[in-house]
Amino acid sequence: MVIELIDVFAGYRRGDFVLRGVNLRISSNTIVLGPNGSGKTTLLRAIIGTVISRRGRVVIDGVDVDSIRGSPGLVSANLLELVMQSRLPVKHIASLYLDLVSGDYDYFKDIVLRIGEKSALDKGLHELSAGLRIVVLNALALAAKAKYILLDEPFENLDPARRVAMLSEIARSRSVKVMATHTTWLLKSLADWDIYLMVEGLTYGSLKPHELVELKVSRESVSDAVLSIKLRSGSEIYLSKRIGVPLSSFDSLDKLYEVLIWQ
Amino acid sequence: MAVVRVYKFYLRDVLSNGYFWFWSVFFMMFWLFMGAFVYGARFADEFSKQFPIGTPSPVIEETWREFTLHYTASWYGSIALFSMSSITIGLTQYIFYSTIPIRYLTKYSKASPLKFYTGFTLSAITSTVIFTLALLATSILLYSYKFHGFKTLISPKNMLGAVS
Repeated sequence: MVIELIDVFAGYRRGDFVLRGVNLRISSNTIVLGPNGSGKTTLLRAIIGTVISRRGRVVIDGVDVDSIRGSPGLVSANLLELVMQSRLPVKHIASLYLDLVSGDYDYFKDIVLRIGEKSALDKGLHELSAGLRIVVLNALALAAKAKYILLDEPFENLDPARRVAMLSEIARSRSVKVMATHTTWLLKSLADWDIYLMVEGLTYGSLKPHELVELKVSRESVSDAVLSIKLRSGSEIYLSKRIGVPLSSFDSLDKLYEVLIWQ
Repeated sequence: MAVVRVYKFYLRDVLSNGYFWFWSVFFMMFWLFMGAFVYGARFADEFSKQFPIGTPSPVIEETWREFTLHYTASWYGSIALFSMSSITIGLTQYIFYSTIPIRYLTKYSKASPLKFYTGFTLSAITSTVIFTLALLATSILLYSYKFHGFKTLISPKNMLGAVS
């Protein structure tokens, strides 16, 4: 079973779409890589069914997302806006949230104690540092034990040690994970994941991490390009096996973003 | 069970929220105090002067009792209304900012919108009753002390009506 997006336009103002005709089929662990503002978070919101304005279809396990009701254990996410606004300590919020979604509170607590801090459980979400907050949100998403777990920038504001710990926790989960991020250091640890590039509201892919690293980037037209990314400015970027600058020659794959935002 | 869980969560949230207690109870208690000890400071001195000389004292006492009861009731009625307004403003804000979580939870949890709002409404009613009872008790104590020195307790003739 899969998550399928069919010609999806989505945004927050009627007629002003962030996603511009996304077609995507997710059946295994997936990374959506893209620069800030490319639409990664909107993509996750469209999958969950919480964007305000949408066209096209999002189908989860054969059911249109608009028709899904009362399905605990189907989809979870680490988005802050999905958690009830409350000044109560995190442990109370998590207890209610995980009870309603048929999750595992003990597992949530275990993750927070191991990767975060014990004090995080007794504080309100608004009192937590940005790093601890993302640990709590990731823990909520993972502990929901859903079939599909959507993770938006799960390493944002985490220190290097916690990033590694969080990555191994995410990798250990048996669910199908969809991770939207702009960090590339993790690709070598997730060799079997599918990668989609997301640029200006459109997705390109899929590729395996080793395939991406082997590609060359060029602004000159390449006939057998693996990916051709069309920017709103009208210019195109080609990722191919033959022509251009090898991505492997970059100091870091993060340089890819400098290429993607060429105008 | 979802109704009970949501009910307990929001009841605990409201009752442990200092902003609710300040604006809905303590700020209102301040005005009850003002009504008794500032605006009503000279009532006792001037009240008997309103009667013709020779009016039997039981009549004056009974009238005084009735007057203080109605004066207390008017303050309590106004303050309870303001208190409920401020509680409602807070709860409305909860609903506004819970729109997306509720949409998410109704799709991917055991909670339907009906269950969620039933639990939320019950918690709102319970917290309002608790705050109102605190104000009612304060009104009774302050005004009974001010006007009768606790010799007579100013209490509502219909307790249910006062709370509702």
